[in-house]
Amino acid sequence: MQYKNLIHLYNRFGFGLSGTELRRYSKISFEQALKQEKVQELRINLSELRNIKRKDLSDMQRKELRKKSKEKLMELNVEWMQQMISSTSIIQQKMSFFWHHHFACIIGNPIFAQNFTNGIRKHATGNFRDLLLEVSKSAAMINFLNTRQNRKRSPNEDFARELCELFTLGRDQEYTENDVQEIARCFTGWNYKADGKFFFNLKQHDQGSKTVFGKSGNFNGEDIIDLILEKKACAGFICDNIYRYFVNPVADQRHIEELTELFYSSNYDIKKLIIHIANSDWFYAEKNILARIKSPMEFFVGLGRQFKLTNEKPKSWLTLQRIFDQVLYQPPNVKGWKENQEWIDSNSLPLRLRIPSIILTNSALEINSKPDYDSNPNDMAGRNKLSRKLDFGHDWGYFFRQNEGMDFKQLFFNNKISPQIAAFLQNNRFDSQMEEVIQLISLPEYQLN
Amino acid sequence: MKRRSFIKKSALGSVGTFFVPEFLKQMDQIGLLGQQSFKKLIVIQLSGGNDGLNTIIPYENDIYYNLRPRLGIKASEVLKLNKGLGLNPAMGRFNQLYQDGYVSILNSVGYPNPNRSHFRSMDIWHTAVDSNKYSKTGWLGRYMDAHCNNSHAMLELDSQLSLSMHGSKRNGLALENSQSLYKSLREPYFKRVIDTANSSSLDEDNQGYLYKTLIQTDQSAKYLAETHTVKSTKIDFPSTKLGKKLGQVSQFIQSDFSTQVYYVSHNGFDSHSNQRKSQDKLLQEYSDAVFSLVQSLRRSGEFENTLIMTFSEFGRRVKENGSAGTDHGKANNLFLIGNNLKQAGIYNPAADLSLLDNGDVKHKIDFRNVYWDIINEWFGKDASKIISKSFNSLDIL
Repeated sequence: MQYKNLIHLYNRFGFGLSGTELRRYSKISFEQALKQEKVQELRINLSELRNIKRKDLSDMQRKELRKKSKEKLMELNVEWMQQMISSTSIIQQKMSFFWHHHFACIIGNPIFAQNFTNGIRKHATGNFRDLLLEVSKSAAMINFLNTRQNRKRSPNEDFARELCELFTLGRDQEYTENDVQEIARCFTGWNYKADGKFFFNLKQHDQGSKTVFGKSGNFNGEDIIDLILEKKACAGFICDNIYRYFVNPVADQRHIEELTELFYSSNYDIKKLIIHIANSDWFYAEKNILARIKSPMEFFVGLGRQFKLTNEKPKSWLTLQRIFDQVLYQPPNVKGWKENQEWIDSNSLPLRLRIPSIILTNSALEINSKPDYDSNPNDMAGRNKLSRKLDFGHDWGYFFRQNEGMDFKQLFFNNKISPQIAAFLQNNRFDSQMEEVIQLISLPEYQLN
Repeated sequence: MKRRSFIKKSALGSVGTFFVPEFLKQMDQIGLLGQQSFKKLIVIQLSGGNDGLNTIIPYENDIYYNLRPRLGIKASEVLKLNKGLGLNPAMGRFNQLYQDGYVSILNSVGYPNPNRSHFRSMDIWHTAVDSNKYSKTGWLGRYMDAHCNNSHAMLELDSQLSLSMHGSKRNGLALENSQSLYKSLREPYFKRVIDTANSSSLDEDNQGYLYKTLIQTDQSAKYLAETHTVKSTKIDFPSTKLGKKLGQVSQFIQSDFSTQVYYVSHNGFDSHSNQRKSQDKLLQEYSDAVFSLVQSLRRSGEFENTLIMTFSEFGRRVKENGSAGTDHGKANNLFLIGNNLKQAGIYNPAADLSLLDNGDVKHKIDFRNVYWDIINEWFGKDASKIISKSFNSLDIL
């Protein structure tokens, strides 16, 4: 495959490539690359948080526990980011990140968060049914969408609604308000134990007959998932999402239909779906190259991989995530993070353009963040104490070794720049290669992939 | 290369033409410059969930004192208004505005199916959609889409922009002070990139979108930095954070900025414990700063054209909690401050504390009704294009 296509492919199913990686990936097919990857585990030491009976704790101890919990959640967050930066299983990592966005879930408990992440990773390129079931049964999701409060006598529709609207079918696609209510009844009794393991509470389960999508029976939650997957609209919705995320934010119905047919007839095989995309000529069409605006995470991880960035100050990555509104485990709501152009406004763009030079020249970025009362109750934040300096380790030597002989304009933006900017660069004199690199990645084009 | 040399070079570099004549032409086309008087809105957001019941106090209500044995503010301390309601004693200056007939107090403002998460509830106030729906644009952003043609039509005095000013075509501008944004784009390198892009034809794709945003930002930043150097306000503003922000707003207005909406947050109202001291302090800061703002607007003759709205994402539980604080609640007060309000004073009766919704104040006025009136009556534009639900006028503006 030509470099141009390879860069495009792994911009989307990865976080961009270095020169060394380009050479390696040029020798194998996407399918082989996928086969060589491993499902990585995300695991930090959470033993202090396990086997604790909250009711035995004093107020002080509970406060302490909450603090510890918060610290561990941050540790997990940074560990995930650092894995994305150093991983060789880039397709897996990218797909897992995508699914976290698709199954947007705000998670405060680090044990739940770790399990949720590993659950997603296990099925990220597997079967969509397994993935959906895994997520639906996770303590993180049960907790987030109030499935615990969904009881026989007082059903809570939260999960049922989002399951249809955001996870599988799309708003008002082939389901009614009545279906939502009936689906909620089917999921009654879904719960988890203190350790986060799924637990079906038969006593709270409504065993009466329910009518969903015009069919009646004593359905349970798993039956519903099967009924939903029987609908081609579900395959269509997922393929539409995948197309917009991995191919082009502007949908092409013909290609989405092609993907839908394949996904549906393969019984929701995610691997087959993405291999099909990677093998399609249309994926490499000029209009798809550099057509997306990177999410902050893609931007950071891409930069991190190129320059081997490390988090010298424990919270630097978190600060960046907060400033740019994309914090792992804390999507703004169940709809997920922003996408594409929504990331860019007159405030975020100048800041984004300055980040590479700030990081790579060890300069200071001082910014005040808005207070976050949900995660920091009682934070009398008017003080804006989030003003911080960033501190990252970086490795220029590594960058130049990896990219020896590479055309940087191809490396960073696949040579897709306007003639004016190309001429501007031509006339620009650089004191050094480092300066050239910094100026290139300070261009708006670097925000695209 | 030494690590800092890029930055140093950028900061000291003198390459590039600084002011492109083309820019001035564009500014002129963008318009609004030199337009005499137009309606302005200043939004003051009390972030964290202000406790409305200790702001506007029902000092004749036994239920209030029963549910708040520690936190209830004694009738003797309260600054009495009428209808059995009084102001928090820290709000003396605000009381003056009230007595002058500049304030309308709306009680029990909220929305159906309220959400108790700060984030979510704030989102609902910003987007003005039903609480079970989501929107990526805010009410002011949609107003901008329809009626404004530059980013500085709406300014937030902050480092990040609130969702309320996100539109689908353009966004408002957030800045901590008018110089900071300007400076960040004045690095010669970016300046040259912007100049280069300026003369090129920009496509509709994302690449074009990025350059367009950059150019818009640059123009607005430049406009702000160059316009407001002239007049400084003659009124002293408190040296608090809010005082400084409102002082800056007043200065912008006096400098004939074409900005229509100013957005300011006053933070720290999430009073789960030891509420009295912290809330009183914040309310005093609010009261003092708003008083100075009104004085300054009156002196410059702009009060006629300026409406001030104050809200918080939710009120707090009527019953105090175990740590002399209050937890998240539902409906709350909203203040409108202006010169010619049709109904100044207490607009509607205080919440009925004997009819609570799970311990919380029930909403009687949908906050979107206030937005509706602001768009229809204050700005004189069609609100139905911006707010998805329709309302009858509250007959205040």
